[in-house]
Amino acid sequence: MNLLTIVITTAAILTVLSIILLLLIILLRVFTERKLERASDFRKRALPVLIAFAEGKADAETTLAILGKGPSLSLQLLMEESDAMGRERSRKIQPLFAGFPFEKQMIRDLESRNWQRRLHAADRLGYIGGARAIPLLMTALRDELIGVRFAAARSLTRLECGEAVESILHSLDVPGEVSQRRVAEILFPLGTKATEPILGVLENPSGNDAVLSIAARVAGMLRMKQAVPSMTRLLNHQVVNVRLNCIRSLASIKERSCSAGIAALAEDPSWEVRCSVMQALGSRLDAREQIPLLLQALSDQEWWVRHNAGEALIALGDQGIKSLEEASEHHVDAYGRDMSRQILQQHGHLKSTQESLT
Amino acid sequence: MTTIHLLLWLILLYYIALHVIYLLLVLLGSWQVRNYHCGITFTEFQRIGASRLTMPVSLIIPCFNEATIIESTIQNALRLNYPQFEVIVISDGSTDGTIGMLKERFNLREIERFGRRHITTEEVIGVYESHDHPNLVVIDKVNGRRADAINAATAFSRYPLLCIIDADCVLDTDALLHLARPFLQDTRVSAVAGIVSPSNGLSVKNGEIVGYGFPKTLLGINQEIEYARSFQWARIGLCRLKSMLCISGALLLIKKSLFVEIGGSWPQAITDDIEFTMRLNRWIHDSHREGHPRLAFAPDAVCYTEVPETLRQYASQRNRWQRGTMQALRRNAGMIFNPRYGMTGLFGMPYFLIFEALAAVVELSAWILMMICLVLGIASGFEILAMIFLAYILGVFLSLTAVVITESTRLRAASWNDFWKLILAIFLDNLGFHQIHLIIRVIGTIQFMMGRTDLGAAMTRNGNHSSPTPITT
Repeated sequence: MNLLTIVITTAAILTVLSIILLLLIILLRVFTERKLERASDFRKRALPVLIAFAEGKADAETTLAILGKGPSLSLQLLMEESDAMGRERSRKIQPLFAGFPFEKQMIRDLESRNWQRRLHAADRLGYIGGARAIPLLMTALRDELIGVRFAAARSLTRLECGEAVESILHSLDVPGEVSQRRVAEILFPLGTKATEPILGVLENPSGNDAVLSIAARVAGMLRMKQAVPSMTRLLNHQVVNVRLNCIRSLASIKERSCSAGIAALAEDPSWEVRCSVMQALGSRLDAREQIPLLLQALSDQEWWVRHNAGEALIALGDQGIKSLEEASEHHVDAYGRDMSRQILQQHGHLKSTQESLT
Repeated sequence: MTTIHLLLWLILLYYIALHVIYLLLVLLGSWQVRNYHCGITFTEFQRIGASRLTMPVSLIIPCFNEATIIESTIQNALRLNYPQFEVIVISDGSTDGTIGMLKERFNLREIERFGRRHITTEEVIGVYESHDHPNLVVIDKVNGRRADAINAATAFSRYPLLCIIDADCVLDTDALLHLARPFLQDTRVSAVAGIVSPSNGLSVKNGEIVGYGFPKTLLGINQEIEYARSFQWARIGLCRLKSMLCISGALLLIKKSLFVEIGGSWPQAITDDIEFTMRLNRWIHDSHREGHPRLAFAPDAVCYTEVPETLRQYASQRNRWQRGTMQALRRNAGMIFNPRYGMTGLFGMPYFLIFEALAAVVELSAWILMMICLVLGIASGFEILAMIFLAYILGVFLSLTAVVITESTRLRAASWNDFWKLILAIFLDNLGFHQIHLIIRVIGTIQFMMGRTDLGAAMTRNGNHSSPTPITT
């Protein structure tokens, strides 16, 4: 083919495409401008009525009549205001969601093959609520996509559905520290409604270690004293994450009676577990009786364990500081002496040590 | 004759290949942007802000003789919406009284603070803390280029994530939240890049963006299109292809442990950001880490930076970028066409070499060749004009695709006036500016070959967008 023909044909095609693209951009801009303007106008009209309704100054019929002029904009506005108003006031505007056919739309979207539709449906159902929301969200907990399952779990928590805790735990039994902490954060707002199911999981472990690990973490976040016996038992669990979360949770609950059980893990093969043990024995449990163990841990092979042991001794007050000062000079291990000095220096205690020496 | 014809065909093939890749990146980029926005759930960023899993950030602002604008940049940084962060401003041996001015404006006092020196840097003269802002740290050090300043600041940072920006940057209030999202979504993410856009038309008051707009000069608007093309689809598309080899130094969020492990920025680099990104990509493949660390792009994390509006400054900046690109490629040449580096080695690096670093040389060769053809009578004036028109319309088409994407996001032109200016600039770009840019890049290439490695003349910042006022607490 002739070079010139190729050049001219390509240039002609691109010229036509560029003109089409330019027209498209102009149209897109016109439509976007109009859409934004409409949304802004609607908001100006609907928001005062919605606030009045939440304050009991407007009736449902008037409010719905105004909101009905823009159903999709209304959904957005209702969701935004639900969040902004706080739990008590948002309950008052909850019946307004029923005035629109949102639920039907969400049911359709939850069955869609498009993951984005499923994701947003699972997310919005938490605001829309309604009689069928909970069973639908429970189904969404079995979605193939983890993001949809997370959204469904958040919605169930928003709807304060305590019965869903176990299903949420099993649907989000993802490995990895961060993912498990995300699940724990989702369950935390349920508060006392989560107590029974979490206790059930801790007392009768199903064999799913991720579930157990998350349950232990939530128990700590909720300061569940009832979970102390089962978590103490789980300190000997074979999975590192379970042991780790049990130590952290028992420390959060400040259950001093378990300090001996926690101290028993000072020789754990996992350095992360040993780290948490040192942290727990210090500021959290104030376990002065474990000072010899903390001094011994100053010579641990891992820097973080040695550091945490030193910090724990500082947290134990005068007794711990004195032991650390002695360790800085007389510890059998050079690493132990070095770490003691570092920690004392960081906390401004090294000077006194030097003075006492002179 | 045959040789010239062959060369013409080769150049045409080069253009076709380049634009096919561009088209692929446009499609991939727009699909990625759409997916990204559709995947964000309601109040997601509020949740990120409230989550204890959101990692704290040390925001590093290196500066050298930026007394005119640094105050506004700090004010903007201190206003960011993020649960826990510190701002570390590091003056790299400034001689314009930056430290004195900052001491006065932010009520600084000198402190004794020792950082863990992971990377050797020039000497740190002093560390200051603000009485008014507990999360502001100012460091004064001996001059040693931007990369050296970043490395020194890393030693004093307290948090696990480092966000590196330029001294003239204005960040969107939620930019850090948007940048942090990929870290929560995927634990393999090691670094995140965001969008960079010209700040020349912005109105910033007391560190807060109060008005959006485009630069006033044609050269400024021209760069607005260039940045849109580069960030709206090119980078996000390249990121999807594991070939994002240039994360702008104006906006990068990276795990501190990784930054240190790689050895920080290279102080001898002409453009430290390009060199660092290439080394980062190399490390990702070389380290053989479990879970395969990866880079991400957040198309809604926006940072505005001042672009040059005079031809002299523009030439100096682009010359430096060109030399920096060449230097980074030479330093990481082992990755080019190396299957060990997967897509990065087989596509990203060759693309960067052939279609970015050498593009100017190839294009200038095409111009010269066309002139030879015209003089020797091998091609007629019409044929040459047809070739020139093809190159022109290709540029217009690609710029328009960038505008389509921009117009469907919140980065769209703020007014119809700006919109028409942008469209006009697209049609004028290839009628002079592009050719000037081409010559600057070719000069840069030649100078690099001749061993020039200095940073060129420093850009004079106008800080026109900012009107800093004293902060009261």
